[in-house]
This record gives sequence, structure tokens and C-alpha cells, in this order.
Amino acid sequence: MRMRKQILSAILAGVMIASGVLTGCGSAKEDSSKAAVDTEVQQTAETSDIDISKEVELVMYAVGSEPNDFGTMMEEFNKMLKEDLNATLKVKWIGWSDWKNQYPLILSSGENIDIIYTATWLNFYQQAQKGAFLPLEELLPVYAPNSWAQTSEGARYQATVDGHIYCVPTGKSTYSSYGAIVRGDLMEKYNLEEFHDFEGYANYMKTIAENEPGMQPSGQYSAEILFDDVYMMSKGLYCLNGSTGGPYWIDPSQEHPTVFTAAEWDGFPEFLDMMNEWFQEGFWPASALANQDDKMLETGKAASKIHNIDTWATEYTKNPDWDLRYYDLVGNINTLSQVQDAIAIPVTAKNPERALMLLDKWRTEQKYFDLFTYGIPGVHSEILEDGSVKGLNDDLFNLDPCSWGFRTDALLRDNANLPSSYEENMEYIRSHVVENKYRSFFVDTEAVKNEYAAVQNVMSQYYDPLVLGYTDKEAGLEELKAQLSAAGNDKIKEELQKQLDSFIESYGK
Amino acid sequence: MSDVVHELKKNRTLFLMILPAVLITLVFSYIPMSGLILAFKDYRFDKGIFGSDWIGLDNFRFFFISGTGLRVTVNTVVYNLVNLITSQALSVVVAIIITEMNAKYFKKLTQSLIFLPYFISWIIVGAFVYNIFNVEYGTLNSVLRFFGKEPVNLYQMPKAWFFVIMIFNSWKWVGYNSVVYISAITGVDASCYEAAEIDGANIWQRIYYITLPSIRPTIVIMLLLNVGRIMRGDFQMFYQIVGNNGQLYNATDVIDTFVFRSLTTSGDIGMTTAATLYQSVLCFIIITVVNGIVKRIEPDYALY
Amino acid sequence: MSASKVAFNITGYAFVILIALFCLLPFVMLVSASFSTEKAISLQGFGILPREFTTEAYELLFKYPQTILRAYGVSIFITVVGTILGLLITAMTGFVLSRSDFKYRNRFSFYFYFTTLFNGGMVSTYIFVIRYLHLKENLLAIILPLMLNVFYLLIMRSFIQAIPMSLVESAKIDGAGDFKIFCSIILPLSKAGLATIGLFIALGYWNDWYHAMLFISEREKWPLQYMLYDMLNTAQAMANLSTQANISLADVPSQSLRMAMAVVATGPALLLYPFVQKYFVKGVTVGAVKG
Repeated sequence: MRMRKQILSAILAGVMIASGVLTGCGSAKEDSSKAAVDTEVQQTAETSDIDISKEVELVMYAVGSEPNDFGTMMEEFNKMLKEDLNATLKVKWIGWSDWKNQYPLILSSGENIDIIYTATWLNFYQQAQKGAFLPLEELLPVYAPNSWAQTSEGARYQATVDGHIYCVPTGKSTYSSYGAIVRGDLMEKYNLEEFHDFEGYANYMKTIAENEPGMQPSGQYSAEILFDDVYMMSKGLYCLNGSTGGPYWIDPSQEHPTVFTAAEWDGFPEFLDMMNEWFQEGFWPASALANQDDKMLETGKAASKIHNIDTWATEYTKNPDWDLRYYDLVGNINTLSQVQDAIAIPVTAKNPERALMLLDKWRTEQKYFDLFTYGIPGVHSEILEDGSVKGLNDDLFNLDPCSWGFRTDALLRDNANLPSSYEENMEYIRSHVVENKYRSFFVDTEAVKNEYAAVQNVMSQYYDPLVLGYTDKEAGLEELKAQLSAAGNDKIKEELQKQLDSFIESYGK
Repeated sequence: MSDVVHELKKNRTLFLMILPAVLITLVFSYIPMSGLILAFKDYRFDKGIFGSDWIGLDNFRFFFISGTGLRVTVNTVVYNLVNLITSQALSVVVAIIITEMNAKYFKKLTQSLIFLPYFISWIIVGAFVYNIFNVEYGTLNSVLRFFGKEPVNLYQMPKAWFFVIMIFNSWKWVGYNSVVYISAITGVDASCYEAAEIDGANIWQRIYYITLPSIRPTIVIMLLLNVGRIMRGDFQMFYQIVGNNGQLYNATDVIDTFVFRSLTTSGDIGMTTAATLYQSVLCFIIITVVNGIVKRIEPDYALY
Repeated sequence: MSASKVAFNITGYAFVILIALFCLLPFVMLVSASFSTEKAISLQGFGILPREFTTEAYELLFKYPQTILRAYGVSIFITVVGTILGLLITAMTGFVLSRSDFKYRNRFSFYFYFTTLFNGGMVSTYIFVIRYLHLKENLLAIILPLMLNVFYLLIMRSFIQAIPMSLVESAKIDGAGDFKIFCSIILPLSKAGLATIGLFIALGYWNDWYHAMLFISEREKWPLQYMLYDMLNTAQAMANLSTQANISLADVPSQSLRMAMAVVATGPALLLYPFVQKYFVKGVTVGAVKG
């Protein structure tokens, strides 16, 4: 399916480039198909009208780590860029180790930044509200018309804050699927069947606990606990922060959802019963929260892990003979907000127009996307016959170091190193997608930021041990509720409900 | 005014000698200090530090809601006080013993060894802590099992961590602090000791009557300097040792870890600055009082 | 030897040996872990001896030796330059502050001390250094702020105060200027103090990653400790981020790799202390004035 699109767009691109016309084919996403904007003639006229006589240097900030051979790729890239747009690009990096401090710092320093990667989890909404980015609704149709056309109504809505569009959301569909990554070889050994629910997962873990001493069935360690999120998602609930780990949930199936925390959910005691039982059966140790070892699955210490499909793909390649399998546990899968990855133009940009033109190229021209994302062909990667890409030297250039903000379903290539069952799992995910309009709702905690900070702290202190069965399920739950209350939980819920209500009214669709 | 001019003329060289330090402090500490106003502002990226709006004490509210702010403040003070006293006392004792040692190589070796913990980052220590305390195969529980006792889950015993942190803190700083004391002790005139020995004093008396009083100024300075930081917890130490074990927070949370966790998703600059300002003001009040007391008793030992 | 000395020796030695062992132990574990396979660490935890001895972590680290060597170069440069300048300034300022005939010494002491209480925060420091001093990507941004540490300054002052004022007075009577007094009298007599503070300043520079984090983004200019910090923290950060950012837990440095990096980053600094110890010689400093 993806292959067909690749070939189609390759042909189209070839034809158009040959005839010197740049048009974007609207990337046909499953959920938000947009009628391909058929304004070729007008667009080409506009883009060729733009004055690029002044040479500029564009500065981009990416989040991640710079591949060792990035510079070599950039040399090639800049040759291309200079020719087409009379510009050169300089990429600077914000590492994972201190992104939380560094990201707002560079935005506040007044340093010239023309393009920057942004995302919901990078606090896009808060920063947009505080004036970090340029409004783009006027600039996009002129300087990045194809990207503008590719962005559906729904995505535009998600990128809107206080009436202005502040980012260009990704063109790649991402899903809220989380599942159990389990050992296929062990499943064969104990004759277990595939599962997509918690009973099946419990069965697997129980088998491991009984028969494989020394192995931890669940692989839970000090990082995020996902059991609760996945469980609640599997019951159809939606976490208002658009991902996991947030305190506030709603039930989208209701006519008019009310905001609640896990502690107040009527299904929570049942969940706690299950978790307590699991703890008693030894699915995770008593000191799991102190264990920082994140390599347990890979080293064989743990028998499973709950995470997303991409983690599964990476883990699979490390131990192919274990036949790691991915079984989605969420069931009611949504497509994530388009602002899961995005590109924004900070207010300090000196050349926003040229930056947007570059963005357009990334989103529509295969050669731009390929070079920047996969490196130099033959050296860093190899494009195979079926259109998929194979990394040749991970040390020099690991694939897709910083293109997340402008990936499109059309231009993105499959990784040839994916496990063979990847496509099968993706099919399962795609066939289980349900619509969820609340993905476009973002939580504005500004008015209750003090209470929200207090609640964060309460959750970290009282919620986590309760979920893992370390504290008594009844007394612990009461304590949690009391603490939440003292932290101002009610005030937050009131505020969020207000925002939710006005969203429901105004969203229309 | 003429007083100043007179002083300038008299000690012209001294003023010149102190000038570089004054400039560096001015440039790198005092000018950026203006950023403290962010604690009272609603920071906007497009308006910058000075253009953003004033919002009074609003940024401080998160700290005091639900009474946690008070609890972590108390924790911070208690931990710092206890850590300060134990680690300094230990360092003094170790310094005295080492300087009294005669075996030269042994002396050098121990000095170097006790310095090692300073080099180990708390993040790594955090990984080791798990190794020691975990219930399944941790060192502590292995030892207990060896002696036929029941394994303990230290992660369920918040009060025990008071001692854990105290021990780790001393472990980390004993080498570093003792350097100061060793250096001070070696500065003591050897002839004093010789005279005392001739007079028949034994070693304990020598230590009590000569060594300790000679390094009293150093001890006081070290104590004062640490009291001035009493509101600041060593964030990495608490964060890495305690980790994500929520059950321990009531007993081990300090201001820095509390603020870190509260602001983990919002990253609100104003609120972080407010928390720092709160710590600073309290430090200031405490040190002013303590320094004032010391100044009354022995003016030369005071910080200022 | 008297009986009390024997008792003292026995208890003293035993006590210190115990402490020294406690201090040595984690370091041994660190080195052992750097020589263990990741699998062994995960399955068996950390131990005193390497589990499944391997040098793969070090091989990985030195696969592209230029990176590590360059970082060493940066760290050494910063430490040497910074320590020389810093020690000079600290000693000089400490001398001025110790002079009882300097009327404003307490006010200046307060001026310096105040900066340890109030800190403008990351944002304003960053903006000021980057925008107004234009020191981004400049190693001076690391060297300058650390040159004068107020704690060390006050400790230095305390050391210098131990030198009798009578020496200074008699030199003044002989007609010497303050700077000359500083160079020819104070410095030689403060060997132990200078060694101590010099050591602290050097260690402060060697271990600093904070200023590099703020001001240096070009990898070629990263000091060793920042590289280590980056490696250690990336692992933690990615573990916490992976679900929100919807990325796969990409290849995060393994535990043994992090340990190896820690050993490499610490290495040279360990040699500093023994080197400095020879200045801690008993009773040499005082006694230059009769009576």
C-alpha cells in the first residue's frame, strides 16, 4: 500500500520536475483526506515571483543528537539549497540530556532562529501562548503553498492557538497504539496464543513467573508506568494531554464528557485489584521504581515490555532469534494529534519566508527529503528497489536524525530493516482506528498552573506506588484522593471542564 | 566621602589588586541577578525579561498549596544541618588522624583513597544504590539472608533514608573537606607540639589543646559557608538516591526535588525563578542571623 | 612510644582504613562495571569484579578517538588556564580581604558573599552572556565565571589570616609595596593554602559541565565531563520521554558504556591530588619572624 503510493508519487514527481513545475500531491491520509488543492497554475506563478536574489543563511534547531557524519551530508545539501533557493542551512542541536532547560533558553535568548522543531510534548502550546513563535496563516499560502495544501482542516485547527496558526504539523500519521512486546520464542515454548487483551498478557506473565525464575515477567522499571494508561485507553478513555502520564481523562463516548482523574474513575478499583494480584504473582519486583536499568528486555532479564510499535521494531533487530512480537493492547486506537511533530518559526527568525520555502521543499521534493533524512546515497544509506531505505552505517549517520517535524506519508520511506511482521502489525493498528475529535483539544493550564504543579507532585508521590501495588489499595486510594483534593484538584477540573465545554461547542465537526 | 578618598589613596594598590575580582563578580553575578524579577513576572518570549507583565506573588502560590512547601522546607533545613555537622565532624577527625600518621606512603594512599567518592557522579551512585537496597538480590538483603534474617524492603521505610542520605553525603565529601583541614593543620607551627611533648602532654591532650584551637577559624568558616547554603539541597544527590520512589518523598523531599517534579511538564520560567528566590531569601535571613552571632563572639571568624 | 599514642594509632588507623575502604569500593565497582558486558550487568547487577570481562565499552568509546581526545584537550586547556588565572585572582583577593588595615574589607567580603545567596537564574545568565557578551561557543564562557569562587576565596582568606600580620607590617616598614609583599612574602608562606585552593579550583574546572551545557553546542568544543553528563542524562531523559515523544527507545548508551565514560572522564583528575599532596608538609610555613 505504501509502496504503491511511493511509486506513484515518484512518477508524478519525475514528470513534474521534468516539466519544471512544482506541485504537491495531497498526501492521502486515511482519516483526514483533503481535496487536493488544484491551484497548480496560481501556485507556480506565485513561487516563481518570490525574490530570492539575496543570499541568506538559515538557522535551524533540531532536538536529538547529531550524527557523526552530518557535516558531510550538509555540504551536499547546501549545494542543492544554494542552487534552488540561494540559501544555506546551518543545523544546531539540542541534546536529549537537557532539552527541558535548553529548549526554552534558546527561544528566550533572542538568538536568530529561522526554523525549529516543536511538538506537543515540547510545550508547543504554552510557548505559542507566550509569544515564542510567528503566526503563519498569512505566510504559509504564499511561501509554502504545498505544505499549506497538505495540511488538513483538522490539522490546521490543532495548530491554532488564540486564533493564529503557529506551526506546520507533521504530514505523517502516528498512532496511539501501545502494546506488549513479548518473547515469541517463549510463547512457542509454552504454547501460548497471541493476545490483544490484559487477560492474555497476564497469562503470559504468569507462565514466565512460574517457569522462568530469574526473569522478570514485566520489565517495569523506574521510568513511566504504562499499565494504567494502556488499561484505561483500552476501556475507551482518553487522556487529555494527548499522550500518556497525564492526570486528567475523559470518556469520549459520552455525549458530554466530564473531566476526571484516574482516582475518581469508577473502574479504577477494579484496575487496582488486578494490579495488586499481578504484584502478588510476582510480575514485577518490590523495588522496581528504583531500578534504572532500561535494557532489561534486550539483555534477557525481562520477558516483556509495554511500549509502542517502533520500540518493538528496534528491540527486534537486537535479538532476532528471540522472535519478539508486538501485541497491541489499546484496541481503540486514535491517530495522534498532528502536532505530535511539527515545525515552527520563532519570532526571532530573520528569514521566515525563505525558511518556509525550504520547508515546502522538504515536504514535497523527494530528493530534499531523502538527502536530509537518509544521508548520502551509497555512503550512509541505500534506497532499495521497493522504495524502502536501508541504513549502511549507523555510526556515521543514523537514519532520520531530525526530520520528524516535516515528515509526510508520501515521502517517508519504509525502513528495510523492519521485522517482517511490521506491516502486519501496522495493518492491525490501522484497522482499529477510531475517530476521536478530542485529539484537537489542548489543555491550557495557565489559569490553574499552581494547582496543576501541585497535582503533578501528588501524582508522582502517591499514584505510582499505588498502581504498582506497593501501598494498600483502599487506604492508598483514599490518601491519593485526599491529597489531590488538597492540591486543588477540583479547581483544575472546573477550569478544564469549562475549556472542554467551549471546545465542544465551537468545534462543530 | 572624603573618608573613601582617603582610604583609596592610602591603600591604592590594595584596591587595584581587588579590582579584577570585583569586575568578574559584577559581570557574571550581579548583572544577571536582575533576572530575579522573573519571579514576579509573567514571562513572554516576545516581550523578554523586562517587557513582560508583573503578576506579584502569583508564581509563588504553587509552592504553598497543600502545605507541601512547608514540609520540604523543613526537610531541607534538617537534612542540610545534619549533613553539615556529620560530614564536617567526620572530616575533622579524619584530618587529625591522617596528619598524626607517620607512615608516609600509607598517609598518601589513604588521603587519595578517601578523595575518590568526590569523582563519582550521583547518577552513577544512583545505579549502585539500587544494587545495594533492592529486595531481590541487593547487597543489604543478601547479607541479611546470609545471617538468616528476613530481607527488608528499604523502599517502604521512609525513616531509614534519613540515615542513608546522611551516610552517602558524608561518604562523598569526607575526602574533599578533609583536604581543607589537613592543610590547616599542617600550617600549625611544629614547635608548639614539640614544646607540649617536652612538657609531658599525651596525644589526646595535644590534639585537644593545640590542634583543635589552631584550626578553629577554619572550622568556623567551613560551618558558616555551609550554613549559608542551608536552603539548597544537593539536587542530584536527593534525586538520584531516592529516585522515583514516591513512598519516600514525605521523608526525603527537599525544595529542589519538589520544584523539579512540580514543574516537570510546564517548565514555567517564572515559577522556577520564584522557587529559587524563596530559597535565596531564606538563606539570606539565616546567614545574617548566624554571621551576626559569630561576629559578636569572635569578629575575625565572621564571613563579613 | 607512649601508651596513649599506641591506643591512638590503633583506633585511628583502623577507623581511617575502614573509611578508605568504603570510599574505594564504589570506585572499584565503577571500574569493574566498565569492563563488564551489558548483559551481565543487567542479569547480575554490579559487583567488585568484572562480570564477564570485556573491553567492548572502551572499544566503542575509542572507536572515533578524535572525539575523546579533543574533549580531553578542551578540558585540559580550560583547567590549566582557568586554574592559573583563578588561583592568582583568588589569592590576591584573599590577601586584600585578610588585611585588618583595609577599612572596607568586610564590605567587600559581603559584596562577594552576597552572590552566593542570590542567583539570577539560567535565563538571565544565558541571555546576558550570549547576547551582551557574545560569548556563545567561546571557551571563555566556561573559564571566566568559574575563576572566582567565593567559597574558595573565603577559605583562602582564612589561610592567609593565619600568617602573622607582623610580617606584613615589618615589610611595610622596610618600604615594600602591597603587591611586592603579596608576591614575596604571602605566596611563599601559603604553599599549603595555595595547593588546597588550587586543587579545588582545578577540580571545579575539570568537573564543570553546567557552563558547557549552557553555552557550548558545538561538539568539538565539549569538555570531557559534559560528554559524560550528556551520555548519562540522555539515557534517563529518553526513558522518560519515549512515550510522549512517540519515538522508539533508540540506542541509548548502555550501562557499561556510561561507566567506561565515567572512568575516562575522571582519569587525569585522580592524579592531581597526589601531585598536590607534597605541599602539605607540616610546620614549614610559619616561623619566619622571631618572637
